[in-house]
Amino acid sequence: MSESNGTSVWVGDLDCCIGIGYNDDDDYDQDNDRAAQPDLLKIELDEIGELQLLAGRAISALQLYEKSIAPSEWRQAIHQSEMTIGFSSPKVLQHEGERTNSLVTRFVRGMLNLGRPYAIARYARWERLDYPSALTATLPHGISALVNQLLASEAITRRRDVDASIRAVFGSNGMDGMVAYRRTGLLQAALHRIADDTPTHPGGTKLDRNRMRAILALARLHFSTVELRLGSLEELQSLLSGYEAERAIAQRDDARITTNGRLIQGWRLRHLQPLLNLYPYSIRHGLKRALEHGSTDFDRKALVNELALAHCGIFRMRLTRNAKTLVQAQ
Amino acid sequence: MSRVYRFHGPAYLPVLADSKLLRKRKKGTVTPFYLVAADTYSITDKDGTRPIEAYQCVPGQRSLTLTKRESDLIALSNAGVQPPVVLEDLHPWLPEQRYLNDSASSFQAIKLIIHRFSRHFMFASQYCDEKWNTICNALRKKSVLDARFFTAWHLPIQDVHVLEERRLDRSVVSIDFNGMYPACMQQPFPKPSGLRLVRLDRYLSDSEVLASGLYRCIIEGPVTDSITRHNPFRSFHSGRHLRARLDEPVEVDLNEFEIEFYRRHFQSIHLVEAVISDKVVSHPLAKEVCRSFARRRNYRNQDNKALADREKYLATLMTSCAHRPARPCHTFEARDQAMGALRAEYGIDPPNDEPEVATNIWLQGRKGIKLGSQDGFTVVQGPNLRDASACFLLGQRIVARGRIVLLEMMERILNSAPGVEICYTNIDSIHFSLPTENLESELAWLESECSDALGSFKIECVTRHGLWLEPGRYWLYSDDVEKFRNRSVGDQKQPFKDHAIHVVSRQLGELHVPIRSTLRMERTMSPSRSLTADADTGLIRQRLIEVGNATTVEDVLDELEQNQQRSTPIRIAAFLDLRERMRSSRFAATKRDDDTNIM
Repeated sequence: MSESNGTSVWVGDLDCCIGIGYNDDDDYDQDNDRAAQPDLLKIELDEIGELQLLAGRAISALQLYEKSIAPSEWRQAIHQSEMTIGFSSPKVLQHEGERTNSLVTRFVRGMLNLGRPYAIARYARWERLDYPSALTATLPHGISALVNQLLASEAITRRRDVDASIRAVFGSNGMDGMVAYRRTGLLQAALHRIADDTPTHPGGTKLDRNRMRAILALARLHFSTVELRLGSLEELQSLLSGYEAERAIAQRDDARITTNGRLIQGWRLRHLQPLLNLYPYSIRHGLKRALEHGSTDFDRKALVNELALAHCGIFRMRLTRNAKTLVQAQ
Repeated sequence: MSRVYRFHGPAYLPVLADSKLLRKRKKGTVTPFYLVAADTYSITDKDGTRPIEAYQCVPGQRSLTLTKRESDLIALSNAGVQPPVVLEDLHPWLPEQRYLNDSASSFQAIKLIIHRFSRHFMFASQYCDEKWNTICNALRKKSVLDARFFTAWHLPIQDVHVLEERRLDRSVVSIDFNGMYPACMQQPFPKPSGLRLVRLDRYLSDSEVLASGLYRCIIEGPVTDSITRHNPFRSFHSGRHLRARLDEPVEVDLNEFEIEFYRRHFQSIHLVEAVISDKVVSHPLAKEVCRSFARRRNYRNQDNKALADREKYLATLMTSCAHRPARPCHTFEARDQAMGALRAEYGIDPPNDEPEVATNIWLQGRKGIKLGSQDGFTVVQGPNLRDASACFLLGQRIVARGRIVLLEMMERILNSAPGVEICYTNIDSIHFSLPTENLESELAWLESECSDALGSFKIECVTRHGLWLEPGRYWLYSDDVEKFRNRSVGDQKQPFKDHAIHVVSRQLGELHVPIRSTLRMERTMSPSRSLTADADTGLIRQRLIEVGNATTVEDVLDELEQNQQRSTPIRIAAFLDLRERMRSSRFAATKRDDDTNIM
């Protein structure tokens, strides 16, 4: 005995419905569609084809797909990159001012801005700082807020001379070429001097150790982000060379720094590195290729592709992070 | 088929018309204010003048400065401390106050202004609560079907059609409606508690009179040139509101008066279903807003600009006070579940080719809905559409009525003289150009119709030329700039200011951190409109990106990038050109005067 509803038939002996007619056709169509999908994908990937990068490198859409970057995500990344690198009309660029007038400047800034929040979070974890404080330290007036907080907790009244000496440390006068680590030393000295000069305070050596550790780590983060506000690859190269030179000096220096009552070898070396080292790999690799490009003539398309590739790296990181958190939660 | 809704499509809303008792808001207490004034180096309060670094928050009181500049100076000199609130932000209708750069004088100024105006002070939230309570008293209940008015298209008409009118034989006229939204509040509204859902599934007949409510329609076949050229329908695509294609059917929720307007512009209107009410009510604040408009007119006639502006401000609050729903957070185990809820609740249904990363960008809160993750869960924050502390139909119908008033006026202007070109429309104003030979008769017609009555319009300005970059950015000029607006970067005095410096305070942990940022005009220009030269007229026409059923995300991204690359530089160049022309003409005029004096 069987009943029909037009698309499936009830077969009593089997105690189930057997699909007939349109449903079956639909199923076959869907099977065909599924079989055709890899072909469609191949066409789509072929259409995107080879993507030109800097330093004579290239990557294919297929390679991206193998790294879990779907064509639609690549398109989105290209869009974000295009909108960052923007237009190249001479009149408008002239209007915008010299500091932002080159595509390379926008590329460098785009790359550094994209990775900054990740580097800040990594630095905060590494230095055992809370993220809101780390984020605060990277803002121009945020670090002043943190120093004001420290002074208040040490019961040091803010006076005009106190503010002036703090401002002198955070100002840019005479600081050219000085790396973040050394500038942090200047802040430390200034804070000690302020404490020594405050009659109601027992002096610089009596400043709370934990508070000082945190403020110096935050100040180094501040200076590290300031020195990464760059507008050209030459400036980036100069910063990296500066760090190389500083590290070479520090390696020759046998003096060990005492902290928390212990002697730690290589303490200075550990902290003598640019914040760029904490940036996601996708950005560091992109900037490395830009530095290796070997010519001042940059193809706009290659710059856009490099920034888009960095965006894709960030997309993947977010996805992995969400998946990890989900697994941990379960 | 194109879809015209707040988001991608309709939401799955309840079929049963349960009603809810509207909930009043409790009257809050106002924190007492502590007056302070500042200049670059010092602050002054009731205890005298001292260095600016000595500023401290007074417990239990909220510091208050007269100008934003003073608050910024205190914030920048005392990073970490909560900055004072600003009197001109709390009461934007107050006469413009200049920063004096002398804290003692500024302190006298704030005391004086408080003495003069304190009895007129009314805080926005307090006022809205009060008016919402009036609405609750009048309406008592609403049906949950009111949520349909939230998902319907909700924005006023804001469009630019022409980049610049520089033709020698043309003139530009700008008109402005008087109290557009208060006038729209005088119209009937379906009774919110009496809403019911009816299935129609038929075409609109020629002479049919529809009951008051919101109709789900499928409209097809534009028949007039004006509707094709000034297409008011918008579809949500790739996180933006873009122009809906009219060469395919359009699904849209329309109020009965909108159907009445569109029926003469389209071949057919198919009515699918409707949320209607057999009874109509007047807006509970209709009389009050009318009285407010009369007061505003009186104050203006007495040259009391501050109090006239106050009435305008309060009227704006009255038009929007019914649209303040609670925004609860909901947690979902998986993103798919959250997206399913967004589809059901708000009609958010991103196309398949929109990657997750792109959806996440526009779901960061800019559109009123926030999607985020926390501890491995997906969190959604958005308005509660079944909330008893909002009634969406009141606001939606006011804005919809405003759109129709503007469209009807545009139609009349287009038919009023040959060669009329609508250049710019924004909520309650229309800028159009026409051959100068027709100007006299056009002005005679407009003058015969305009008045200072509520809902009527006034002729704002007549010039020879105009430059319109985008909504909120225009310059109407002849030998000099006569009227201008430069949204987010301009002020009332400098027509060619191209950037603005803002200080915002952001709370991070315990600290309030001032952030100083520069907004440049070219960086805040939307890439949603393209520019194309019209060989017949010599004009450069602006056109919003158009989307339809077959539009892919890639199509939209392509157009956005092209516009960013090509159109934005042209706009900036036009702005710079105008600035240059105005400067050189002013220089020439000065030189002419000098020469005359010498002779």
